[in-house]
Order: sequence, then structure tokens, then C-alpha cells
Amino acid sequence: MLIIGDADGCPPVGVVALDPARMPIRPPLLAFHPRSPRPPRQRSVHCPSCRHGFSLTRRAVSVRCPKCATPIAFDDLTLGQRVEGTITTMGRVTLRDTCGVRGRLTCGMLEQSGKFDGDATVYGPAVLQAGSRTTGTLVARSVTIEAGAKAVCRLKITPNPGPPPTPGRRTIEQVRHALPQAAHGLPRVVPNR
Amino acid sequence: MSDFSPSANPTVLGPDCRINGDLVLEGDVLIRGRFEGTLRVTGTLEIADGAAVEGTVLAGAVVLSGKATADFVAEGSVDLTGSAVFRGRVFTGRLSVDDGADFEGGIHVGARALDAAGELLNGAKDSSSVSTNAEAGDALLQRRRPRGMGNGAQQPVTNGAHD
Repeated sequence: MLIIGDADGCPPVGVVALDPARMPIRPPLLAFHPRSPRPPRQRSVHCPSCRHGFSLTRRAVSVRCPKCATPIAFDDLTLGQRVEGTITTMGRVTLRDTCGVRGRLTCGMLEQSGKFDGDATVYGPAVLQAGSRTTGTLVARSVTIEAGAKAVCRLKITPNPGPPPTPGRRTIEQVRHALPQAAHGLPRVVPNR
Repeated sequence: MSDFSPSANPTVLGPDCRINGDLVLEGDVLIRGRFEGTLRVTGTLEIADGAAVEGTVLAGAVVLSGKATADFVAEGSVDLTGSAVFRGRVFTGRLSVDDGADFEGGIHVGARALDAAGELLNGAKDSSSVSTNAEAGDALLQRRRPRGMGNGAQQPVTNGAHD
């Protein structure tokens, strides 16, 4: 069925039933998709080790850094109870209002309603919602502390959060010089003659 | 919490303006130049991109797009845009730092942030020596106004402070 109307959005002036068998030339497309297919959703990622930035699909749950081969996980965590220790993921971490985390937190995004005490490194935005309590150190790419939240901490906002890049692979001689002579116990390397 | 939405007619310190000392301004303020010292603003203080502030800032709200090495005490909110560079401490009830900003320092965000900034507040109150006074400005204009213009020809100075 074809609706004939004005191109400017005027009401249709007539309705014509099309029979494909009687038409001299078959129309190339009788049915069409109103929307073009969506491009795959991407997420931009920074490697926590070497800070190399790259993008990958949002469906990925883990990846290795193409530069330094460090494994990176994208698990989304939602915590609602007391946790003490180290949490590391490049996905989204949600701390509910019943949650209390003490320790080291490394994540891609942080959404906090509960308590946090320790060192947090967020490679994306950090949102401290009303009712949240934060102490310690927060390093993030951006931060929003809403009214009603309490944060008494050191804050560092930088485009490249995280520790300094890990130095490249060192030779055995560099390791030998870096370690104390008595402690390493490495066998002495005798050059070939 | 008070609403510190910026007004249409802020006091503007232009890009060629360099001020050292203590300054008290009523209403909203836009800084495009440089300021060193203690600045007290009752409304919203906006530090534009390219501007620089050093010292202590007490304001209703702060929007930072330039560079600041200072301690901010804001009753409302502190917003740092993507071009902001900040070193120092922030005492406020709400903080927002956009992606691209460079922030390094301590924060005290919460309902009792102003209590924690008590030392800064007391120090600024004692050291304020430069201020604008609306009544003094009106009196000056009355003396300098020609007799033919009458009393209602000019608007009174609105950017003033009462200490």
C-alpha cells in the first residue's frame, strides 16, 4: 500500500494499492527500515599499567592491552555490604548506601552512595551521591559530589589517572644492579667468550 | 542551601586587571584578569578561562574555568570546567569537576564544610581592608553630577558591600 501525500508533511491525498505482479518494474524496496542499524557501542579504555588508550565494544568482558598485554577485566560490581581489601575492575562499581568499603579500589566508573575509606583510582567519572561518605584519596578523571554527600579527602582529577606507567621489561643486568648485592642471590652472569 | 544562580550584570575585572590585596564585592563577579589576595564575594564568582587567582576565595558559589592556586570556601557549590587548573583546598557543600580539568588538593565537601573552614573564614574577616561601598558610591555620584540632570538621571551603584 502506498500513501500519496505532499512531501512537506501535508495530509495524504490518496491511498493506492500496489500489486507487484502488475507493476511494469518491480520496485526495488517495498519495505524499508525506518532507522539505520546502530553502530556498535564502544567504550574508551586506558590501560592501568601503561596508560595506553584504546576503544573496544561494550560487550567485551575482558581484554588484553594491545601495547603491554596486561589483562583488563570489565566486570560491573554492585556492593551492598562491608568489604575490606582490594577491588580492581575497569567496569562500573556501584557502592550502595548499605555498603562500606575499606581498602584500595580501582575501577572504570564509580557510583557511590555508601561509605568508602581508602585509596580509589577511577579511570572515568566518579559520582558521589547524597548520603555517601568518602575519606582517603580519590583520583579520577572527573568527579561530581552532590549536595548531601560528605567527602573529606585528597582529590586529584587528571585526564590520565592511575600510577605512573610501568617501566618496560628490564634486562637481567638492570635487575642485578637494582637489587642489593647480598639479597638477590642471582647467579653471576658470565659473558660468553 | 542558598541558590547562587549567576545574574546578568556581574562585576567584571577585565583581562588587563591585576589586583593584589583584599577585596570584598557584593553580587556576582567575573574575573578575566589576575587576582592575588583574599577575595570575598557574596554571589557567584566566575573565574574565566585565562584568568588566574591566588590566595583565599570566599564566595557563595564558584565557577572556575581558569587557573587558581587558592583555598576556596563556597556556601553553595564549586564547579570546575574542563579548562580549569586548581591547586589548593576546597570547602563547599557541592563539588563538580568536569573531564579535562586539572585538580590537585584537599576537599572538604558536606554540610559542615564551612565549620571546617573556620580558620580561613576568621582570617579573611580580620584582614579585609579594601571594599566597595554602595552608599559611598552614590554620594560621590551626587557630588559629581551636573545640576541639570536631576536626581533620578543616573542609576545608583549596585556593586557595593556593607562591612
